[in-house]
Amino acid sequence: MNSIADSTPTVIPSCLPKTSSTTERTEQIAHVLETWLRTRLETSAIEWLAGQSEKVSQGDRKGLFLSFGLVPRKTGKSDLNLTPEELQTAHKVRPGWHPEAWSVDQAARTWLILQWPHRTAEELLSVLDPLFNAGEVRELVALYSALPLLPYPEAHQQRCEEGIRSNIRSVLFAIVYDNPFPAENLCNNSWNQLVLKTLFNDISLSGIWAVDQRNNPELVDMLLDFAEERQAAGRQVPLDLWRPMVRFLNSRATHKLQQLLESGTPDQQRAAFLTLVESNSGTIALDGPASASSLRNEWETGKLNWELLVPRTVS
Amino acid sequence: MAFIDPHIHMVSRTTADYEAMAAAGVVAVIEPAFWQGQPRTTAGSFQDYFATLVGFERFRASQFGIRHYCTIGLNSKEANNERLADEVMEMLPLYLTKEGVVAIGEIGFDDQTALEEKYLRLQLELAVEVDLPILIHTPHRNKKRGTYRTMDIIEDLGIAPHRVVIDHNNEETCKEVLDRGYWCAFTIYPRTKMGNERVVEIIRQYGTERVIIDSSADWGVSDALAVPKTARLMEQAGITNDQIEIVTYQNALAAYSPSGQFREEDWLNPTPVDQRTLFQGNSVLRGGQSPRVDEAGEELIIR
Ligand SMILES: [Zn+2]
Repeated sequence: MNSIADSTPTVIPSCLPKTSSTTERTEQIAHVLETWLRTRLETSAIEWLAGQSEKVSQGDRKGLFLSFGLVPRKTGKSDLNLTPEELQTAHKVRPGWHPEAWSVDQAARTWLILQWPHRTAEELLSVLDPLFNAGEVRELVALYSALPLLPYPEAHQQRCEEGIRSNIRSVLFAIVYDNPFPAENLCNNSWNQLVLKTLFNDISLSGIWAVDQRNNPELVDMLLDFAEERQAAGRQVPLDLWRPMVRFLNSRATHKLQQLLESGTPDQQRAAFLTLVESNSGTIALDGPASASSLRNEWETGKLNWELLVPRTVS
Repeated sequence: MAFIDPHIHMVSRTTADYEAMAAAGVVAVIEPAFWQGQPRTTAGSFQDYFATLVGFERFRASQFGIRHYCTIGLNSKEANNERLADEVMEMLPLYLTKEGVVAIGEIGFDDQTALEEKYLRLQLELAVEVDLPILIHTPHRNKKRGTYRTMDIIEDLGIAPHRVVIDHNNEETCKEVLDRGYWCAFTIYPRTKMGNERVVEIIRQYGTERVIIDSSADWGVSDALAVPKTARLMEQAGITNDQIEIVTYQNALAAYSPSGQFREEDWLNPTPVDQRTLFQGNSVLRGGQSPRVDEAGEELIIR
């Protein structure tokens, strides 16, 4: 696909929750972050942050760049350890936002960015771009995790695509895991690259937000090619490689899945069963092997699903 | 014995140097940002240079069991290109606060022009703002005057001398630098700066308090093993091990630790892998390395 096609507007599947990206929401998110920080940081760190935010909110570039870098020295780097109630609040102000693994410095950095005054996307990018371009690993993790919290989502699409190309594993995690931005904003081509890159790096798809909603026919062929490449090299095919084929099976995929169902390992049979049954590709396909009925039983009693079969990768 | 080389330009050195340094007992290095032999023409060159110092060079050193730190700043030579200097000044806040940046530097005078003074002052003020130590490069020409003038400016801005390392000292400058309370560094660099026989004499005369030894090894004819070699020479000259450790390790540690970025635990007791950055800790003491300078078969004296 050429670059013009790459940037065609995304058709976001209607099954994804609609989220607004208004200034009002940005303010809510900033408020939530501030509350979390206030209950966790020492008074000196809170005062320092307040002083910095004053400069930042007046458009002081140097102030933002310095304070963004200095944050871990002032706040420490411990985990936020949010309570279930706090996590619920996060989800309420920003559906899809999962800050379970966030650290205090990450929250403080995000909060500072949200203080930057802007009337247009360009005004926001005028500080985001330098921060991204000069970012070290920990800063990049904070920046990429913050993408879904920022206004002007269309302005961050390319940045997200660049992040998917990163070979720094923790940066990749920040984009593909618990981050609603890709599913909501990437075109199919970029989304498919994200899925492939995740599988390629032996990261389970289970941590990708809305992973099943963005399945598409092109992805099925890409994944089948990838599976064949791995088989030819004598390497393992990830069990959840089949997961993004659900609802878009073609004859080539169905054939492969039938083979797996009949002669794969127990887990391969489970993966094949899940893919077929969730594709509604009918009872006929599942009548064959004797094991199918016991798998159906597992599935119907909630003992078989993708998260159980291929749990989230712990970085 | 473990050594710190608190002034060395590793981007100009090969991995063979890293291997030899690690084998000779160097556990940590500080790489000051400086000019690279020819003037840069765009701010982008500075950006990539700074990014290398806080990024790839850190990683490369860690592969050889050496912890790499750096100082960030606009050097005096390139301060004379005002347009470029302004762009670099804009960029400094993005890099001064990165992990492993232990000071602003090396800054100071070269030709002692008005522009050099302008950017020296601006960067000294920035160091105060971000609460970082300062590494001063003293000029090769008209050194005594340039060194005194630098100290006058530092004091004019009310900066405490114990926050400042003045480097490339010689017999002519060191007394005043020490008397005024600064960290006084000697660069053991063949021919142009200081030989290690001379520094042994200086230590005999002035003692070890606030004295620091470094190599400043770079793209010129220089020696990445200058610190361990000088330690060896001091030993032969009858200087005690305690005193050697003070000038080749302890003082550098004390001078740069106020940055909060220069901690002995980093190399003695590295933290396990940080899940968020996946930065691999690497204990240099693993495998019980012993200094190997005496086996190198190279000249111990650096003139
Ligand atoms: Zn130097």
